[in-house]
Amino acid sequence: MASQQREAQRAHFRKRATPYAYMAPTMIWLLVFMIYPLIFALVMAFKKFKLMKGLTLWKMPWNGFNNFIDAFNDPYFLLSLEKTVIILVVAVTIEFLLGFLIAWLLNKKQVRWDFIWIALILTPMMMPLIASGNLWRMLLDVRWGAVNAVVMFLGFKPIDFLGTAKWALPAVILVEIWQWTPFVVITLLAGLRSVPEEPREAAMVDGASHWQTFTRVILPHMQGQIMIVLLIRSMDVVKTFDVVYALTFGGPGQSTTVATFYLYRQAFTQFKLGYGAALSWLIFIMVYLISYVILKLFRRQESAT
Amino acid sequence: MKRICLVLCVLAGLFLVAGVAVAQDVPKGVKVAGSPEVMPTTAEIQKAVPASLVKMGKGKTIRIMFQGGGDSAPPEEQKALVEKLTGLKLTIDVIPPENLHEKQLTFFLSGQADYDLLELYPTWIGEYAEAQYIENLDSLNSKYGQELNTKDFIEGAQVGFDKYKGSWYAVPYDGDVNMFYYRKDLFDDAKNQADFKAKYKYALVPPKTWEEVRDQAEFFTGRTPGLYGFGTLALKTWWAADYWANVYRNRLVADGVSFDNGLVNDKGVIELNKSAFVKANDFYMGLMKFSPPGILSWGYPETKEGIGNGVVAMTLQWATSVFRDPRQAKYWDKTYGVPMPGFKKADGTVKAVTSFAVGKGLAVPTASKNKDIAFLYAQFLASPAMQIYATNSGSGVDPNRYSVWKDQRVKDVWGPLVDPTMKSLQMGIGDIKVPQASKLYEALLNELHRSWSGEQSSAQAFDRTMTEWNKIMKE
Repeated sequence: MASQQREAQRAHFRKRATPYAYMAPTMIWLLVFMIYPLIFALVMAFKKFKLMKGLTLWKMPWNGFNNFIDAFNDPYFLLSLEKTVIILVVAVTIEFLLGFLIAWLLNKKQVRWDFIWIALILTPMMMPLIASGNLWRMLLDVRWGAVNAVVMFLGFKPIDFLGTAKWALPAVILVEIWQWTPFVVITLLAGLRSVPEEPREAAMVDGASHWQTFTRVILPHMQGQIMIVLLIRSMDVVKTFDVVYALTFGGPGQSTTVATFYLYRQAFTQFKLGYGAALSWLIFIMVYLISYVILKLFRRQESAT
Repeated sequence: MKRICLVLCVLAGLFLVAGVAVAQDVPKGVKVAGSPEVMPTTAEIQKAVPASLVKMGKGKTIRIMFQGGGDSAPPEEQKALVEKLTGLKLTIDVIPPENLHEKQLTFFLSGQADYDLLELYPTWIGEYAEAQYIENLDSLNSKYGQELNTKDFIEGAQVGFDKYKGSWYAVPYDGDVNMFYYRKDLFDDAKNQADFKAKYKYALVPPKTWEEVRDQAEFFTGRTPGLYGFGTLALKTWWAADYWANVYRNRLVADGVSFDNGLVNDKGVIELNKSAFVKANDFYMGLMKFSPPGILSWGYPETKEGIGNGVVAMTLQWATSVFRDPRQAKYWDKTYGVPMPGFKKADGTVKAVTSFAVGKGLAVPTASKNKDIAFLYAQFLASPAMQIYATNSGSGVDPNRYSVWKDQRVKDVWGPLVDPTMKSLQMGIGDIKVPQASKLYEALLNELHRSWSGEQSSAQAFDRTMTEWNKIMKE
C-alpha cells in the first residue's frame, strides 16, 4: 500500500517536473546570459569602478545615484541623446513613408515578377551593419565617392558629407534609411496582402473614395504590422552603433555621437564601467518608454476601432 | 546565352588590361620591401633566436596578442621557423587596432591568465603598470640583457616607448615617430621657386618652421588642379590628438615653456598651457584651410594616399617606407621627409620636437606562467635581424636600433627617409603614460575635434579640456 502510494507520488512529481525539465536549458541560458548581466549592470551602475580593483563587484565602492546624477549633468551625454532623438524621428518617419509607398507599389497587380523586386529591395538589409557603414564611407567620400560624382554631374559643388558637422548626421540618417527601409517594405507588404478584398470592394461599392478606403479600411487592418514596424525600428534606432562606428566614429566634433556610441566610448575607451552601466540603464529605460508609448497608442486605437 | 558569355569575357578582359595598365611596375634597380635582396637570410634569423629560448622553449606554449594590420605579420611569417628551432608552440591572436585596448583590459579584468605576451601602445604602460597587470621587466632584462643588447636601441625611443618611472615595462617593437613629408618635385620646380619667392620674399625650401609650412601650404593649394597644400590624419581617433601635439609642443618650445610631454607628465602633473594651446590650435585650424575637403574624416589610409598619390604637397605622418614604394605610391621617388618643423623663438632661432606617437612595445602580463619564455621571444622579435625582416617585408613595423638603421638593406628600402627618421627618433617626446592616459586623450580629442568642426573656439576647447582633465586626475 505504502509502496503504491510512493509510486503514485513519484509519478505525480514526474508529471509536474517534466515541463520544468524541458524548460530548464532555456531558463538557465536566460539566467546566465540575460538576467545575470542585467543585474550585474544594474549593481554596477551604483558602484564606482576602479581599474586596479578589477571586476569584483563587492570590491567596488558604492557610489549611490551619483552615476545617474552625473549622466544628467553630462552635457555630452545629453547632446548624444539629442542626436539619437533626431535620428529616431527623421529616420523612422522617412523609412515608414518610403517603405509604405514601395510596399503599396509592389502590391499593385500590374507589378510583374514582384519576387525579383522584393529580393533586390531586401539586399541592403542582408549586409552586415559594419560593412554597410564602410561601404557608405567610400560612397560618400568627398573626393572619390560615387554620391559626389552624381552631385558634381548635376552641376553642384561636392559635399563634404563626413567631414562637416552639418552633413555628418544626415549621412548617418541616410545610411539608416537605406539599410532599414526594406524591413518596413517587407512587413507592410505582408500587411497589405493580408487585407481582405471584401471590405475593400464593399467600401468602393458604397461610394467611398480611394483615400477613404485607405484610411478607413486598409489602415485599420494593418495596425498590427504598422505597430511592429514602428516598435522595432524605434528600438533599433535608439541602439544605432555600427553605422556611426564605421562611418564617422562619432565625429566631426560630437555631431554624430549618438547615445550608444557615447556609452561605448565611456565604458570601453575610458573604462568608466560604473558610469557606462548607468548610461546603459538610462538608454534601456528610454527604449522601454518609447515602446510603451507606441504600444499604448496602438492599444487605444485598437479599442477605439 | 552565348552572347552574354561573350560580353562577360570581353568585360573581364578589359578589367584585366586596365588593372595591368594601372598597376605601377617596380623600375629596374629599385629595391623595394619584399625583394629577396633586402631580406635577411634564414641563417640570420635563426641566429637571432636567443640561446636561452632554445633551451627553455621545448614543450611549452605561449599565447600572444598582436594588433592586426602589419604588426602581426613578422611573427606569423616566422612562426614555423621558431617553433622548429625551439620546440615552442606559439599561439598568435590578432585584434583590430581600435579594439586592442578594450580586449587587453577585458583580459586583465576577467582574471584569465592565458596570454603571455601583449603588443601595446606606450600610452597604456602607466595604466597597466600601476594596476600591476604587466611585469616590471628590469629583472628579466638584467638576467637576459646581453641577449637583448639594449644599448643598440636609440635612446629617445627607449625612454619614450617602453620605460615607466625609470623601469622597463616593454620590449621595443615598433619604432614609430612623427615626421614631416613633402613632394620634392614641387619644391624643386623652377617656376614654383620663382613664384614663391616673388610672393613670400624667401626661398622655397623644405620647411624648418611651421610659419613656412603655412605659407607653402597656401602657395601649393590649387597650384595644379586638385592639389592641396597640407593634409593629415584628423579623423576622430586619439592619434589625431597626437598629431596635433606636434604643433602644440613646438609652440611650447618657441614660447619658452619648459615641459616633460606638454600634456600630463609621468608624475601626473597637468602641463597643458592655455596660451600655447590656443595659439597652436588656431594655427592648426588655419592650416586645415589648405587641406582637401573632408579632412576631418581622414584616417591613416587617406593620409597615406594623400601624399603618395599627389593630393597634397605636404603631410605629417608616422615614419614609413611605403612612400618609397612604387607599388604603393605614385610619387614614390618624389616624396621626401624632414624632421618636424618648429616655431621661431623670439630670438629667431628654431628648436623643434616631434611626437613619438604610438610606437609599440611587447609586455609580459604578471599573470603569465611563462614569463621568461615570453620575454625571450619578445627579444627575438626585437632583434636586429627581425627588425630588418619586419621593416623590409613591408609590415609597417619600423626599426628602432642604431645597427638596423645603418644596415644597407634598410637604407636601400627607406632611401632618403633614413636620415630624417633617425633624427626624429632622437628628438621625439613620448605620449601621456599615466594610468588615466586613455581618458585624458579621449577628453582632449573630444574638445579638439569640436573646435576643428567649428562647434567651439580654441579657448573653449582648452577650458573644457582642463575641466575634464582636472576631474580625471582627481579621480
